[in-house]
Amino acid sequence: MNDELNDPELQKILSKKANQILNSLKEKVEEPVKHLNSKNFEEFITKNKIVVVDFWAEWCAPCFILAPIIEELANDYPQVAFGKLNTEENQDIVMRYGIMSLPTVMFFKNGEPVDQILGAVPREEIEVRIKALLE
Amino acid sequence: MRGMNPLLLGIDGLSYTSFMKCNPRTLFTLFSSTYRGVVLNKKPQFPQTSWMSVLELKDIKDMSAVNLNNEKPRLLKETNAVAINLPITNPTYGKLSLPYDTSVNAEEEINKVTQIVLELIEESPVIASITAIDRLLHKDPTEKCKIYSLVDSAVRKILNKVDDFIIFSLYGEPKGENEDGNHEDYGVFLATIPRPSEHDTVKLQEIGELFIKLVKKEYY
Repeated sequence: MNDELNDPELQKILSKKANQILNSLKEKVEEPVKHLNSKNFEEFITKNKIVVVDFWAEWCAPCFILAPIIEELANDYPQVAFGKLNTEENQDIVMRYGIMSLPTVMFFKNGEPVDQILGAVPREEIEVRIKALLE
Repeated sequence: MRGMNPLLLGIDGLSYTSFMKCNPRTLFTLFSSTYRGVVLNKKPQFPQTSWMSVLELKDIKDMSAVNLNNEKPRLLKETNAVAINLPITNPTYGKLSLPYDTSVNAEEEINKVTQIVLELIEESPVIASITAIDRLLHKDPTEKCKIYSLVDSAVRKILNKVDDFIIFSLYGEPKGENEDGNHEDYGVFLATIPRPSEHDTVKLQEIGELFIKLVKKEYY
């Protein structure tokens, strides 16, 4: 076992993995809710197991009421990836998921949409869906 | 008897992002019962130039271009409105003039603004500002929900007497310790007048234009 741990190849792999984890944690602390766009959306929903995406627009007042709740949940659930997508600037994603009203919160598991919530809702309503996905 | 004169009330620094946390009941009721929007005003944002952009109906970036000694701002002239506590000068401009610093507490300012608005709205249109959120939260953000509660009560009292109004904020929550142009880019807009395009953000100049329509009753 000790010999294996001293293996330079294994050390390299472990160190690389540790760096990846540290970088992802650093990214999460710096930007708890990642700004998504057409370029990074696909990678974001497939790379992370459970994903919550807040679809918003600048003119949408309820979106601003909801935003701090999403941010709070992102800090409280580090095992879930949180993102936000400006619908005015990323119409292709909006069309793909048939977003008809704002705000919409969409939940993804293993890259697939599994649930959604429409409107500015209390924290508990979003949290209960997250807990169900984590079970 | 209800006063029929319209009110333009700026609550500087009021932000939708604090609605869930502070739960201002009257503002929440207005949110679901009036025409609403999001004011867009990108950094750097200052109370003087942002207010002057509303009052002159054009983008004002520099106060050196403004002369308040010789003439009134355009919006006051066009609407014959009375000004109350507008932070375009220090002390503030209008019938109520208070020092723009931390020497006046939120309760005192809000009570004075409320009282004078209620007195004058019977006589003419009113353009007023409550500066407490922006003036005080840069220094002490922990007071936020207390000030929101005072603002909410004041709005309830004022709207009991007013039919037509625009309530807005020049920008969102204050950030940083000093008034150095740092706030959220998005403010509040709640009004009894519809906007031509509700899927656009509200620009500062547009607020003045809408108030003129409200005063001249051009939207009926």
